[in-house]
Amino acid sequence: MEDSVVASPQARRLALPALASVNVSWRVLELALGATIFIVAFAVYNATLTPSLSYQSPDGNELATIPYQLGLAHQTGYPMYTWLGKLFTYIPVGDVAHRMNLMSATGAAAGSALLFAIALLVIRGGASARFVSWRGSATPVTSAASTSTEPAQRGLQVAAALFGALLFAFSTTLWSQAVIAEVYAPNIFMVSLTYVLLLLWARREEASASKTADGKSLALFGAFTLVFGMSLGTHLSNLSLAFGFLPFIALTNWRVVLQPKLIGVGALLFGLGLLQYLWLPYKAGDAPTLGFAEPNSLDGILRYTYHAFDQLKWAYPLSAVPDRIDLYLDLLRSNFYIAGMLVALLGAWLVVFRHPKAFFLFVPGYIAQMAFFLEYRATDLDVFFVTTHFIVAVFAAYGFYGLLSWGYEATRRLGLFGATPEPATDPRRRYATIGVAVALAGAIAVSAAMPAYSLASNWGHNDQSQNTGINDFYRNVFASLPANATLNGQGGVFGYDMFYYRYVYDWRPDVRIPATEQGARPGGPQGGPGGLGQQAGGFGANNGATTAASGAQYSVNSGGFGGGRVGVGGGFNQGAFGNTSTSWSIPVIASPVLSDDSAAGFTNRTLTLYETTNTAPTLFVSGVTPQNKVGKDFGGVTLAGYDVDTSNVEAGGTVHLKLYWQGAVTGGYQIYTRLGESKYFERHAIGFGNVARYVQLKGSLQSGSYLVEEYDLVILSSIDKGGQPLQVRVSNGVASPGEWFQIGTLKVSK
Amino acid sequence: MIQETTQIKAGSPVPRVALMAVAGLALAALMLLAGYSMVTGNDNGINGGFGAPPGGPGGAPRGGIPQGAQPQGQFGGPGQAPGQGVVPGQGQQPGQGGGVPNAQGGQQNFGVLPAPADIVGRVQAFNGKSLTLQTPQGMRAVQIDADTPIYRANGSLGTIADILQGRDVAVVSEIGQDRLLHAVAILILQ
Repeated sequence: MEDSVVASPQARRLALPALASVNVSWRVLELALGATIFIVAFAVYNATLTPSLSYQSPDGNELATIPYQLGLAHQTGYPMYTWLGKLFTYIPVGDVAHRMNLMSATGAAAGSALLFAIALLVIRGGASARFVSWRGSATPVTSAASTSTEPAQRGLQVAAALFGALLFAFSTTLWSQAVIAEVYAPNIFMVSLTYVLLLLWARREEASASKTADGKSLALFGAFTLVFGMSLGTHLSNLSLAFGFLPFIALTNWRVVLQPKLIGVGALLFGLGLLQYLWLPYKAGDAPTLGFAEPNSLDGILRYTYHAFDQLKWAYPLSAVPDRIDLYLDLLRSNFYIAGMLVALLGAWLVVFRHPKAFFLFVPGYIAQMAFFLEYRATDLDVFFVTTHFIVAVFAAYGFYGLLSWGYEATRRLGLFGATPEPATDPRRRYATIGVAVALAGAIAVSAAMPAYSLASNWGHNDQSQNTGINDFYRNVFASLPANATLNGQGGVFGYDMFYYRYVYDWRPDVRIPATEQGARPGGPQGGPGGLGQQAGGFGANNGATTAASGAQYSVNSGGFGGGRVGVGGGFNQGAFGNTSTSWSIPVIASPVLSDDSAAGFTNRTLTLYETTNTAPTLFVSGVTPQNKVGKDFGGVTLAGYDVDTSNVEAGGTVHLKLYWQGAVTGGYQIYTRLGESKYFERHAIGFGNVARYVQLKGSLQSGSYLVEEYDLVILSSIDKGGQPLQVRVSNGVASPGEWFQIGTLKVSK
Repeated sequence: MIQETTQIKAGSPVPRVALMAVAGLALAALMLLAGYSMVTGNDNGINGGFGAPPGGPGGAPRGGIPQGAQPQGQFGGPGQAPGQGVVPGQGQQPGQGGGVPNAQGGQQNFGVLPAPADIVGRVQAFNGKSLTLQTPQGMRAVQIDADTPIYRANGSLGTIADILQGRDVAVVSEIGQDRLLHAVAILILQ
C-alpha cells in the first residue's frame, strides 16, 4: 500500500484531478512504462532493422559473423559481445546477421528502458531530493525512502523520466547503431545496467540503518561490480566511467573502505567479469586473419586491448581542442537539437544544486569519455559518443522534471486544475505568474515534442529495412561463379561481407577465397544455420556453376577500403584484387549498396564482381543501334541508349544492362544507376575504370563509336513489385551528381 | 527517522555545500570551454570530423575547389566555369563544381583520379608518410605510401617531391585496416 496513490485531500487539492483519482501501484505503473518504452523502441528499431549485412559500419559484417563462430573479434576482442551474440544467433528469425542486428535493437531498447529507471532514481535522489520549487522553498518529497509520495509530483517524475528515455531512444546515433550489428547498442545496455545497479545500491545504503552493508546491499554492490566488469567486454572504454563510480561510492558511504567484506566481494566479482578476456589468448589463433598481432601473451593481450589503435589516440594538438569540441557540439545537436541540449544543461545545473552526488556520478565519466574520444582520430567518431549521449539524456530528464515542477507550481498558484489558488495579492504578481506559466508551458511543449520530432525526422535516415544489396549481390555471385573459381577480395575485418557466406553458410565450398586462407580461421560448418531462404543449406560444389572453367579468377571489389578502389594507376582498373598489370577486370555484377555517397568513407562502398582476364574487353563499338534510345546529355557525356535482356525482372535477381555512352568518356565521370525510388543505388567510374588504359593501348577511337558498359545490375529483393523506373544520373567526379533521369521501366516480380 | 539514520551512516565527509560549489565550478568551466570552442572553433559541420566527402557524391568540398581548377578531358566536351570556392578557408557554401572535361585545356585534370576526390585541401605538413591538410572541414591527416600515385596538375605522374607545403591537393582516400585514412591517389592542383 505504501506505493499506492491514495486520493488524499492534499492530493485532491494539489494534484491534477486525473492523477488524484488514480489508485494503482506506482511501482506497477513504472514497471509497465519501462516495459512500454522497451516495446515501443524495439518496435521502431525492428521496423527499420537491416535485414542482414550492411556497410553502415566498418566492423559490422565482422561483428555479425564472429559471434556465430565463437571466434575472436578485432581489437579489443569484445568477448562479452561475442557470447551474447552467440545466444542471439539461435533465434529462429532471418539469417544470422539479422539475428545479430536484433541484438542491437534489443540492447538499445533495453538501454532506453533502463535510462527511464536511472532518471527516476536520480530525480528521486535519495534523502537529499527536493521537489524543485522556483523560490527555493523545496518540499522534501520522493525520497527513495519516502513512503508518502505525492501523486502529482511522482507523476511529474515519471513523465520526466519517460521524456529522457524516449529522447535517447530516438536520438539518431543510437538509432543508427540499433539497426545494425555493432557493439554500441549492446554496450549501452551494459552501461545502463551498471548505473542502475549502482544507484540501487546507493539507495539501499542510504535507507539502511545498519552501519555495515547488509545482505541486500552486498548483493547489489556485487552485482554492480560484476556487470561493470562484464561491460568491459562490450566496450573497453567503459572503464573510464569508473572516474564517476568511485567518487559516487565514496560520497554515498565513504565507510565502504572500512568494510573489507564489501570491498572484497566487489573486487572479486569485478575480476570475475574481467576474466572474460582470457578469451583472447584462447582464441589467439584467429587473429592473423584480422591482421592484428596475436593476443597469445601478456604483451600481446595488452597490445590487443589497452594499446588497441594507439595510432588513433591523442591525435590532435591542444590547439585543435576547440575545433573538436565544436564538432562534438554539432554531434550533440544532431542527436538532441538545441531544445534538448538546453533542457539537459538546465538539468545539469539542477543536479548541481539538488543532487550534487549524482553530478559526481555522471560528469567525471562523461568528461573522461569525451576527452578521450575528442582526441581519437576515428572515422566513425559519432558512435563513440553514444555513452555520453546517454548521460546527457539523463540530465535532460532532470531538466524536464524541473520545467514540469515549476509549471506545476505555477498552475497551483493560479488555482488551475482544481488547486486552491494563493490568496489574491498584488495583481502584478499574478500577471507575472501567468507570464511565467505561459513561458514554462511553451518550454515544456517544445521539449515534450522532441522525442516525437526525433522519431519523425530520423526515421528516413536510419531506416535500413530495404538494405538488401549485399545479400542479393552475393546470392547472385555464388550462383553464377563457375566451378572451382577463385574469388579474390579484401582481407581482414573489411572482408567479412564475403567471408560471412563462407564462415556461416559455407556457400560454394568449391570456390576458393584466398583472403580466408591467411590464418588459422576455422571454416564454417557444412550446411548452415538457415535463414537464407532456399540457399540455406549452402550451394553445392557445382550448384549454380555455369561453366566448367576451372580456375577462373574473379574479384569482388567493394570499393572504399583497403585498396579496393577501381582504376588506381593512371585510370587503369588495377584496383581489383589479384590483378596484375597485364590483366583486365571486366565487370560482371554490380549491386546498389550505396545510400548516401556523401557519407563517411566506410558507408560509401561500392560492390562489384569483376572477372579477371588477360583479354582486353571490347569497350567501344560502332555501327550499332541501342535497343532503347535515350540521347540524354549529362553535361559532357551523353547516354545514347541502352539494352536490357528482359523488361521483366525478378526481385533479388539481376538484369543484364548495356549502357551506350558518347562524349568525354575518358573524363572522371561517375555513373549512378538504380531501379525504382529506392534510396539505394549503384555507382561506378565510367567504363569501370578501363577506359584510359584501353584508349592508350588501342590509340584514337573511331568517330561516332560508343563506349559500352555491360554488366548485370542487381535487383534488390526489397523492391516493390510492379513497374519500376530504371534511372541514371552522372557526376563529373567533382561536383554532386545531377538529378535522376528515367531511361525506361522494368516490371518487377517477386 | 530514515533521514536521520542516513545522515549518520551514509553520506560523505564532504559538506553538501562544498559538493555543490565544486560541481557548479566544474559545470561552469565546461560551459565556458564549450562557449569558447563555439566562438573560436572551426565550423566543421557534422561530416567534418569523419574524413568524409562532405560536399556530396562528387566529393566536392564545401568552399569549392580552387579557382582555375578546370578539369580537362582528352576528347573534348563542353567546359564549365570552375568552382568559386577557395581552399582552404572561406568555404561555407558549396562550391560550384570544377567543370567538366574541357578540350580547350586547363590546368587540372580530375579525370586522372580513379574516384571522386573526397578531400581537397592545402598542404600544412608532410613528412614523407603522413600528409596533413587544412580543408574547409578542418585538419585532415592522410597516409601515403610508396605506391600511391601522385599526379601533377597537368595530369602527368609525379612524385612525393611534388608535395610541397602550401600547395592545394585533391585526394581520393579510403580507410585502412589501421583505421587511418590512406591516400589512393593524389592530384596536385597548383
